[in-house]
Amino acid sequence: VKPALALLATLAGGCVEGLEPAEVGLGRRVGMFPGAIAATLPPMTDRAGNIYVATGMPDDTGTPQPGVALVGGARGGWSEGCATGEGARGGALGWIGATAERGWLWTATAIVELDAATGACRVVLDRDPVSDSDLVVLAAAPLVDETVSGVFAMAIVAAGTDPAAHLITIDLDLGVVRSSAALGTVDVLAVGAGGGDAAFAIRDGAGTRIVLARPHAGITGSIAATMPDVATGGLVGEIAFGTDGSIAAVLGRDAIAIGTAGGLATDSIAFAARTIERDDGGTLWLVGDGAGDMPQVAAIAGGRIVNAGEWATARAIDDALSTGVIVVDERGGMRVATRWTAHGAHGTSALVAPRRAPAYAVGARAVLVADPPVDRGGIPYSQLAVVPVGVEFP
Amino acid sequence: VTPAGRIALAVAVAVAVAVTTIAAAPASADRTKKRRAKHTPTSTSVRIVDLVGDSATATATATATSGTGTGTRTGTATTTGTATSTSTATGTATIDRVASAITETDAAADADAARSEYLVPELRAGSLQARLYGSLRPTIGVAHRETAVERDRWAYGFAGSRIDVGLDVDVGRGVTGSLYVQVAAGRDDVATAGTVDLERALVSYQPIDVLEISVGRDYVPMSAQSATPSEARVFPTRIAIDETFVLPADVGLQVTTSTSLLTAMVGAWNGVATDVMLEPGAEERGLLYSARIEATPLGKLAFDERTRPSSLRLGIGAGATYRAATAFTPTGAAGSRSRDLRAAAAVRVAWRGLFVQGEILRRQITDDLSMRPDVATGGYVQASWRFAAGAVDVAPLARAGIERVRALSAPATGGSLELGGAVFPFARGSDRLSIAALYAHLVDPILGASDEVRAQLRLGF
Repeated sequence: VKPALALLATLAGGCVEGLEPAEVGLGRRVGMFPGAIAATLPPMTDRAGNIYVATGMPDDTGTPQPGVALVGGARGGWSEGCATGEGARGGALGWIGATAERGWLWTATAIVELDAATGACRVVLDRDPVSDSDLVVLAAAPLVDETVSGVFAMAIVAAGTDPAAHLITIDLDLGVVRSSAALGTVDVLAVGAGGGDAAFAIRDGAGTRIVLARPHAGITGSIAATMPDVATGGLVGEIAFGTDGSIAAVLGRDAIAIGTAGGLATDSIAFAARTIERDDGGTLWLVGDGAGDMPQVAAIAGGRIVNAGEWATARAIDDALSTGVIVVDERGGMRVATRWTAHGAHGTSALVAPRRAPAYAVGARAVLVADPPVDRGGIPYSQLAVVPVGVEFP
Repeated sequence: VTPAGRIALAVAVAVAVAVTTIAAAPASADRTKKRRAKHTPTSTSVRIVDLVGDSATATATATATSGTGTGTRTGTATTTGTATSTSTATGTATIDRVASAITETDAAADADAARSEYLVPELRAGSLQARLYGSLRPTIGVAHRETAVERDRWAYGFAGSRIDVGLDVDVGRGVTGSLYVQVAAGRDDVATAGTVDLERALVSYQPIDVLEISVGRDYVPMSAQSATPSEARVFPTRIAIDETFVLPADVGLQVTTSTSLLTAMVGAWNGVATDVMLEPGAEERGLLYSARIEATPLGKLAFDERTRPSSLRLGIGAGATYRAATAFTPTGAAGSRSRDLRAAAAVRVAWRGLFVQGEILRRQITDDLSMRPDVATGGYVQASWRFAAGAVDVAPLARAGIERVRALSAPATGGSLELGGAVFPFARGSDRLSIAALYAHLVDPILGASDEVRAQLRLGF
């Protein structure tokens, strides 16, 4: 009977709906990890629906320390996980992107590939091909360019102790540098992507600006930008592009710059901005914490901040998570559903992470949640789970 | 008479007799209970009209008589690719029934015209009849991809070249078999091993005229694209967007009921794995069910882009497949469940050399774990118009399609536009030799745009 009903529904123009706003989906347990705040990066999803998770406790500056990278299969199962890197600089600093069955992240010392088919991690690039010295990744843009020739990404890197930075195109398949352009001595303040361009907010002797670049083509443009005076060394800030021409950069709490392609200027807002979200329509939203860690949101239109207020959807999701969320535990090849009283794993509202959450689906984000920590030898440990949630911006 | 002439004569006579004998039944007047009841012709006569070189024309007349009436049918066949027949009926048969009989016989004549293309005649051994056919299809293509690196910016070669071989066997008493294999070349720009694809391996049983039961391997006939066999295409390839919606060849059982006005098919298939990756050691299982119904109010219209009916034919059809599958974990425990629903609705029009087909396609895959539906919608229109131009036939070809994939997860749009033509130089009305050339602008939802020109020579045997 069910096949017949489904057939009739389709013939009658039946459709499939995703998650409703503030609806909490089925969680999937990732594992148990140390730290009251176990990760700074929200989960990423590839085209096939595989989920990529990188853990790593943040230090005093908010920079994630080395953790574990895992892949959850679209139809179930998790990889065993592998280290994101070694030493104090081996923490995952950002996602680059994903194709159908592969995802990439970057640390301060390497570009790392996660293979969903095998669960393996592979260091794509960690040495300067010219000097053969260790690579310093100042920033990698959240952009993958998939062509018939391969998959490419863009990053600003330096080699060893040489302070000179280079803008490079990386062949993510082969792990080689396809092209390189010298930038001189620069600080990278923020990174983003939009309209097929990678964007890097840099500071050098001439001041601050946003450099636009495309794989293979190199630098394609520049946008004048007055950026907040922030120290480098922690998490690199984020840049986002709206379909209405708005551009926003968040370099840290209370350190934002807003504008258009004609230029960006520093700005301020009543709440502590954490990151910039981009909805399915292409509108930019500043999100952050207000009084009592209440999630806040403000639209950006025409290069200006408008309509700041409480983010009701984020609040509703937090309430639903704390009330109880069903989480599937897939250990041992089984599927056991349990109910967790959970909270956002980033220390604030589940939807307000230090990094922008890549879209999980239309109208949905995947958030990382944790159950109440347990003490093990003086170190708090929490179980982490990925939960898809319906998102609506005011 | 040359040896080829003898073969041509045998083919012409066989086709004429077949056309006439089959046609005599519906022309019979006594069809009050079973409209397509067969009557063994009471008399059949054959006359050779023309025999020149390696071509021949033959006519045959068959008469079937039953209790209340008599039907007579006259058929003509030539080895240059035509077979026609006319009928008369006397007795209690109504005008409508005679008209219906003529329509049905036109369809039979169309099919027989196509059969007469083949150089290898039917092989007979007792009650067993076999027919071997196929084609050689060397193809050359040049593609340009602006976004590729230098190595891949231009791709050229003979990808798309293939050999296809088919074998139809009739063992009598309504039992038939069909086999169709394609051997294809590798990629354009890299020397790779070819592929061997068993598209069809079917055993069919037809207990009565309107019912056929088939078991074996075949394409699941969800859409008009997938219901049209490879050997029955005018375009060198399937339309690009079909890859999003088509199911691979599968093994199963299908029941078909068919009249001149309506064809309905239902099937149950093994259900091959979806393209969603499973964790190592996991396995997904679930039967696939298919259904397709098509109305042909003006008479039968085969899934054959080469068909050239003498009167207007129209096909309005819809099909769907449904598969509920369970992904079992490596330990054997039941894991996530998924539902794969695909549907299509098509309109096809054929009249003489004109063939137009439009179709809307949809795919929606959901599961109880990810809550991330995979929804795709697409559509295409294709047209070909074959007409005589001097001593040859020519056929302009045009096809355009668009698709929106992952509409609820990671939306992207793709499509294609193809323009070109085909020439049939061997003889007027013959499909034995054709050359098709197409320019295509393709937009892949992931890899972006490319342009290509592809030419295919097809030599049928």
